[in-house]
Amino acid sequence: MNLLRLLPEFIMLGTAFLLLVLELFLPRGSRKGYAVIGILGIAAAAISLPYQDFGPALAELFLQDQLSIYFKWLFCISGVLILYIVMLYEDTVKNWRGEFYSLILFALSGMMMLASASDFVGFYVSLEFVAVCLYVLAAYLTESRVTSEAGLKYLVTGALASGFLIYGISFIYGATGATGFAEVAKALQTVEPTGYLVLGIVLTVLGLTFKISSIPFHVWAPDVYQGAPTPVTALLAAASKSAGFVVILRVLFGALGTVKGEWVAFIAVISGITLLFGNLAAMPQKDLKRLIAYAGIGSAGYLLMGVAAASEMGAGAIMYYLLTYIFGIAGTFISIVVFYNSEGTDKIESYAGLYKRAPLLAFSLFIGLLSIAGFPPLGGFIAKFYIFMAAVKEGLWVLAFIGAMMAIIAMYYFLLVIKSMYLRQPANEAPIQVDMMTRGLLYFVNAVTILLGIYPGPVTDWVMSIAQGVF
Amino acid sequence: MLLSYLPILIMIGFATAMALGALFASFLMRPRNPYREKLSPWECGMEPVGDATGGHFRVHFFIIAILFVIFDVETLFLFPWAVLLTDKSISLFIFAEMIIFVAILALGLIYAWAKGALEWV
Repeated sequence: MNLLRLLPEFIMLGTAFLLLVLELFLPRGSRKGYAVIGILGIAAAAISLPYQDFGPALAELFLQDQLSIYFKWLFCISGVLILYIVMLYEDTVKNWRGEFYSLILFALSGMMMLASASDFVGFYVSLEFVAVCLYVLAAYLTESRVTSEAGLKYLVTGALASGFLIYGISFIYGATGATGFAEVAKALQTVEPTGYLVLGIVLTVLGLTFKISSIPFHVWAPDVYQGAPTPVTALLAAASKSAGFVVILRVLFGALGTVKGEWVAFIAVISGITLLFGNLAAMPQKDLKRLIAYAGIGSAGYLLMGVAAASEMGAGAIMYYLLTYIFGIAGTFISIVVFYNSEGTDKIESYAGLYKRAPLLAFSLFIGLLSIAGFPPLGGFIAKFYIFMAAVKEGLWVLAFIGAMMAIIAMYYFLLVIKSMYLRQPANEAPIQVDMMTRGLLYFVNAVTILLGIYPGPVTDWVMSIAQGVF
Repeated sequence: MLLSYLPILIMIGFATAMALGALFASFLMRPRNPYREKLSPWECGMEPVGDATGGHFRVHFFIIAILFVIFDVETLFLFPWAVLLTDKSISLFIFAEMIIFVAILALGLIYAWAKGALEWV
């Protein structure tokens, strides 16, 4: 029964519906229990992952393979961490708290569908499913003007990018006569690449740059990261970016891998511009969430460097990068939410002297931000190292050089934040309380980030073995 | 290959010429005799109230519109399903699938109802 291959998605959807039905019967009030139900649902979905058999599902619209399983693991991990962040953040939301949890679960199940999409139709439907949930979530705090503005910007750019995407897909279909990724790849072995195919590839890639927040559809990222509710920012930064890259791996490496000469240069140019823009624009930022948004644009540039390498090593490096990125983002955003609950602001200057007030929060930000920047010996360093190695192996020297320069700039702007947390005097000495659960989770997340840096062997071996099958 | 679309091009040209020609001919032939009553907007024989171009209507209509679209699409989906239902080999399976689909939509309607989306404030 091939529907069973979509079991993890069904479990997630079922949990989301369960929460919606519960919402009808419960009186207004706290919904923190929902986070527990949601985490249990995600755990059930995750438990079913190792027992999945590989193969197509739903008339070959979806495909269960090692790549999809790996990314489903990523979505399960980020889902648990994000639901915990939502629980911490919940009191800031005035209305419809229960829906917030369901929408996050819906978005995650859409991303899991995206991870196993093996046909342009299934891929587009899953992508829109995720997008609709995220549009609502980004504008969730209806009484805040900043959030409404963020939601509107996200919606308008998203609709434009979707238009590009579906137009590009139609050209690829016109050039190859197929919508399934495997069939497209098969058709391209015999069909000579035409101008229409290249136009289709360019438009499809442009449409996908919206999801991963790289040039040219990056403009939404700073405003939305800053304005959206913080858990949604974490979801966008960690899970949504991973979903964008699994699709890029499937479309470019899987379906269009045989014509990589047509797109490698294009991706390399996008990657270079994204690296320069994201990191240089991050320097003058005053708001931590906005800073992370620009740094996230820079990260998209690094990940695209792995795509431009167009090799198995590049694919493996992307997968490892996303894993370390999720843990870096989780440590950072849990600290941001705890700090926001106590102080009500995300401004970098208000983080001054955080070390004296809450050593653990300062330490988590230290580890998380430096891992995102790629500081040895943290996880992000190994990931960036693999990306550079993949790029250099394929002869992308210029791109690797830009990347290395920008990595130094990334250290600079993240170290400014860390300097203000550790060396400057706090305006107010009162310590910030962090409860036991959050403490434990922060220790765990930081330990994983450090462990991914000093003992990457098992995960990188796994990732590289998955990458063998991507092309 | 493109030449096979020539009849469509001719048809477009013909339709455009026809529409413009009719407008132009009536412009030449019609009597011109404007007066105030005739120029006022016609509103079911009533005295016009206010300015019709403002376009103010309740934003609440959008929820009704969305609910309408959802159930409209559901109906659209039911027709091909009903045709296929006579095929004995898959009928039980697609019957269950459609029941789940309709149940999810019904849950949505109940949810919107219970949350007061259908209240006319």
